[in-house]
Amino acid sequence: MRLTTDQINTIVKTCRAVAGASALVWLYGSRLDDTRHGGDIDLLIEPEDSVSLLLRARIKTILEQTLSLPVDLLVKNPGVPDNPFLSIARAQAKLLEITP
Amino acid sequence: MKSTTSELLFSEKQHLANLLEAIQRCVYFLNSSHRAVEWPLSGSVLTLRKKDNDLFEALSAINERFAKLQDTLGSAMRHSLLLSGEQADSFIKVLAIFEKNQVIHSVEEWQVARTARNLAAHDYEISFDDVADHFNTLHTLTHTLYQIARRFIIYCKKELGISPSTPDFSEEFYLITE
Repeated sequence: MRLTTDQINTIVKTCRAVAGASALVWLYGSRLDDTRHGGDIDLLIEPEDSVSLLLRARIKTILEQTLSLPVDLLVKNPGVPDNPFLSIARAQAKLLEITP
Repeated sequence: MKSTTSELLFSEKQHLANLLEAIQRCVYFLNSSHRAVEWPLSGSVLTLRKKDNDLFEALSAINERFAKLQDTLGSAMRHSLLLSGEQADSFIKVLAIFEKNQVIHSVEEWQVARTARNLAAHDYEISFDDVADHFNTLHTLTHTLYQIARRFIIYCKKELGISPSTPDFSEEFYLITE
């Protein structure tokens, strides 16, 4: 995975601060592939309570400012059925956890 | 040479005055579109009214006018710095200067508005719940943009002595952004 421990901690803390402490934060896409270079940070968030568009925008803005990297954000709100893109993203995603 | 410089300065001032009028016009028409909709929207209301052309035309206009207002404000803020002699080599620097001048409350406030609009442009048409969330978000952020527009126009008058090129929309602008 092409993210540092500090970057992972920042991502998870930011997502949970806005989307709720129990939100699951997954990484998918090219940052999982150690042989590639650069690229967006593709994240999938699964919150316990629905996250509005405004909150998604806030998470994306804070992360892009903090990490100085482009962030692509998917949110799977509770009760909303998966679409094919979400299913594919989750199938190859890796759950991010805070490392003390 | 001297007259060329003063002509250039006049032309730059005139351009800013035109942008200020465009901002007031954007606010006027964005407000008209918002008034055509009953807020907040919900997915169930949109489902019931899915063939209501007047409603969906108003919503399309909100999308376009919201973007136009923010883009015009951005252009005008950047242009005003030319006239105030401030150096800004990137838009983030422009925002930082206007945060310092208290025209925007924070750089983040501006960027969240921009991000929300871009996110929505990608996926708002997938479900009526998402459409409702998208437009409710723009509705909330519109008030923020109105306040920025008002403070910016007051700033231009006070700091640069420049007002909108015509007063045609001014009265309504100040009432809407009150």
